[in-house]
Amino acid sequence: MSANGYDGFFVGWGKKLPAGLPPFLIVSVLFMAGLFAGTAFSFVITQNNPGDGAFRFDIGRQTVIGVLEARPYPVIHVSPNDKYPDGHSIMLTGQGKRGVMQQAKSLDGQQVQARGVLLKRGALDMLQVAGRMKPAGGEIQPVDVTDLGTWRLSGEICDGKCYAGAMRPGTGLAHKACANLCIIGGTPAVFVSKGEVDGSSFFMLSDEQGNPLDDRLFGITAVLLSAEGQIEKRGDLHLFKINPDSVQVQ
Amino acid sequence: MSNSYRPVLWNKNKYAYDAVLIVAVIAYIYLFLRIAPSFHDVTRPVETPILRMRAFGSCAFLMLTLILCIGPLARLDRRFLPLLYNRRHFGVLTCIVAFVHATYVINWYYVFSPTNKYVALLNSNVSFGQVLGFPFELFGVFSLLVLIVLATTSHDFWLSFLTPKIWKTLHMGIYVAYASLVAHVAFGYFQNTTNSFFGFVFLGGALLVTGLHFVTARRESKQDGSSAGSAGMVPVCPVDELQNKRGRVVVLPDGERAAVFLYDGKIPAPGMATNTGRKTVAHHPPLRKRFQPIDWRWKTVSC
Repeated sequence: MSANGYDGFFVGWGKKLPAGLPPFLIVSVLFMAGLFAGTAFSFVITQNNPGDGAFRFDIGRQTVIGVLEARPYPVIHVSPNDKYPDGHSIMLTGQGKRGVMQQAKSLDGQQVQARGVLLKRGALDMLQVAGRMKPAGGEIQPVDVTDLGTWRLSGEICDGKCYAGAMRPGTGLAHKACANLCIIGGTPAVFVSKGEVDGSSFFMLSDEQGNPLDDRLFGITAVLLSAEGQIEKRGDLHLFKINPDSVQVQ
Repeated sequence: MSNSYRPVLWNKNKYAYDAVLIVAVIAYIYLFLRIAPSFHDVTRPVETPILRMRAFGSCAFLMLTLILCIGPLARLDRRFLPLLYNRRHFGVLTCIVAFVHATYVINWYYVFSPTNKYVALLNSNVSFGQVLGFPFELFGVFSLLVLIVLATTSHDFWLSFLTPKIWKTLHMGIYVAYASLVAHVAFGYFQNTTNSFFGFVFLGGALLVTGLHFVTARRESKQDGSSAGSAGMVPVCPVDELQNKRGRVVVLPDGERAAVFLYDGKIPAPGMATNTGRKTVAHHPPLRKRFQPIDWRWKTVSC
């Protein structure tokens, strides 16, 4: 007889379980069921808050008119109107993990009309362009550019589309491969900072010359890092001209 | 003389075992996807495909952790033997759950891109030179491939075809798969979350598996040492200590284990059992081959 008093002999194909075994098995199964249930429940309710970013299908397709800036990533600077009394800068993206850089190149600096579905996260807006953008005519307002100086920021490089709400959460290591695919596809790269500069913790990224993100930085998307660079305010969108040599992964 | 194989030799215990397993998995997923999210305090809920991949991924991790605990638990306490009995089905179900997890991941993070999703899986994260951001996806791919191989070969046909030694060696790959799974989680979600509960479950599970194996190995190494025999002969026990219709496990000089049975007052020796047509041994003809190098002196004797 064993130390726990059980002396049964379990036979898999037997028709009857040895005496003393059924209560033990019932307790074991209930314990494991409780463990699984508790784990599922606790896992879900302790997940990080993914934020409020989302596709705004609820407000339908939006049409915006403004000055298109193609570099580093396409942005439309909407002139003040009823909807945006102070004007607004909206990043542009294509369907899926594709940008609209090719389309934007030929329209750079022009007044254009773009139509599509809005993605919104706080004050950050992005338009997923449907179809082709077209010249809109009208007076071209110059984009206000303010140099905010050189800063070292701590945060994470992500793709602007997923962060804005195409995926929730659209940040973090699990999302790293997706972020790389999006950025390679031409979706605006962004920097989500731990701290604020000029009231913003969100920055569109470029290299030091104002071109799209340096290929060398694809390896360090989605990880916490600090980097130095010049910050500009273009319209109401902040641009972080990151210096790749200053990056330190934390 | 030939052996015939059926997909599953069903019996009452297997039905009960599988029913409990399937209900448990469905309950876990349902709770994860339908009930718990309503208690999650968030601005907007986590995207459904992401929640699904987390549900199936965490379920697969827990299932594999439990599977690896069953072996040592059954050695430490024989009352756990019924859980060991149908562990193959547990493993196959774990493989299916892991496969669903992978399907959601691939069809969410790697689609909508000009790059083929399977190519993207392999080349969109190549940060091999750093710990933070290391391509943890590849650990998951490897674990899943091992699980698929093990699930496919979890049948008596493969045991017979591959021979027990190769089959067992192959299925010891489950430990490699688990280590790879731990790395998959450790380099991925674990690096990124502030969810301390998840950390507790993840580390607790991995430590439980390691601890149980360590304790069992220590205990069994003492027992194994006491039964090691001299060349050609392996002492088991006095004949009158054998109980009818029960086996006595003995460790062979090469470290393998064998069982000596007393059945209807006779002790069948493995080398002769196939000639007797006894059901218990006839299902495992390769066992005979395994015992051949040893000079077995036992014969069928009357007690």
